[in-house]
Amino acid sequence: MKNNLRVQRAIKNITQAELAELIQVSRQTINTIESGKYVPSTVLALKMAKVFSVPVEEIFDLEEGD
Amino acid sequence: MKSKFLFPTWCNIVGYLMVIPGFVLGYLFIFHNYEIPGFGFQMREKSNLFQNAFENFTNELAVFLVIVGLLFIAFSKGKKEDELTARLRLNSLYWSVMIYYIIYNFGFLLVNYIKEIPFVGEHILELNIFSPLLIFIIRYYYLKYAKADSFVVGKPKFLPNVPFRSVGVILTLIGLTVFVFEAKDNIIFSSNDLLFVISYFVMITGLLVWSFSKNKIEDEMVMQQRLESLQLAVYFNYGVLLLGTLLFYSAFYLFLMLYAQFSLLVYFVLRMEYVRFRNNKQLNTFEEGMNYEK
Repeated sequence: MKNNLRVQRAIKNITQAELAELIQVSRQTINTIESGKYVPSTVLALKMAKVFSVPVEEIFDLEEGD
Repeated sequence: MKSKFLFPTWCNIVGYLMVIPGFVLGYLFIFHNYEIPGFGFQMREKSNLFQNAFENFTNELAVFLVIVGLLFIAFSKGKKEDELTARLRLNSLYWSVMIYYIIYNFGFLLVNYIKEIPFVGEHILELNIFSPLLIFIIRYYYLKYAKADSFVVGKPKFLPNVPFRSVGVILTLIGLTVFVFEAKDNIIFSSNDLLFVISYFVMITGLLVWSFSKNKIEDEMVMQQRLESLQLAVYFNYGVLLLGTLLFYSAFYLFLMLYAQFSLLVYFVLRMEYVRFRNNKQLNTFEEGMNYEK
């Protein structure tokens, strides 16, 4: 699964730490999600989508092999 | 979340093929002193108090068959492994380890009474070694098949960080220190020694509380790491036990068995500390990649 979380953060101009605070997770988790090593739960993905005011599919996308 | 670190499906059947003869052999060895004739070799010139000259490997074989067999049954891939089975598996593991050690710990307080129970009392050490696995197997397969439609796979509950983690660490260290101090003086463990019994109980309680309390930073990723660590700790624990079974004998093996009563929690706790350290390190060395600082 690929994500463009970093791009979304840039658009909204917030740091990892600030995003982490907004959705109540640790900064490590944001970091690990961005590097593609951790797949967030549905609830977390929806929370992120709300923060960036975009649909979830604009942040996360399925790839071959998922 | 998919299951990690599982054996292939065929290991399930192999597990049963190992466990049944293993239990039978173990039963024969313990209760009838049965040894497979000639199954062993001359280890050393002469027998001494701690070690026989001719070591028979029947009991090692029984232990090996039972433990590996149970591991295979417990951790082999089902026909259809998906998110649900992964969650179910980890929840069952969490539940069974916790329940087992709580029962074990309180059972230990009553050790003087348990010693009287005919079968269990004399072989409590051996029984305890593989009981967590057995409980997990029963719990997991019961949930998977009997309760598949009705069981709600919730988040496993852990104790809040604020008092409990420190309490757990302190209790473990105090209990361990007193226990080691007492054990140094009494090689033969006497359950009449109150201080010994209490310090052991305190140590196990500490380990339990430490294992099942949250870190300061505990979100969904840490929770997943926690449950995977539990699985790894189980593997490591039984791996070490198997190695020890092959390498140690007589009195040394007795010490190993005693340690193996609680070593699972020790490995789990240590692994979680390592995970915590690694998470922190990741933060410090990977500072915000591309800079989106304000």
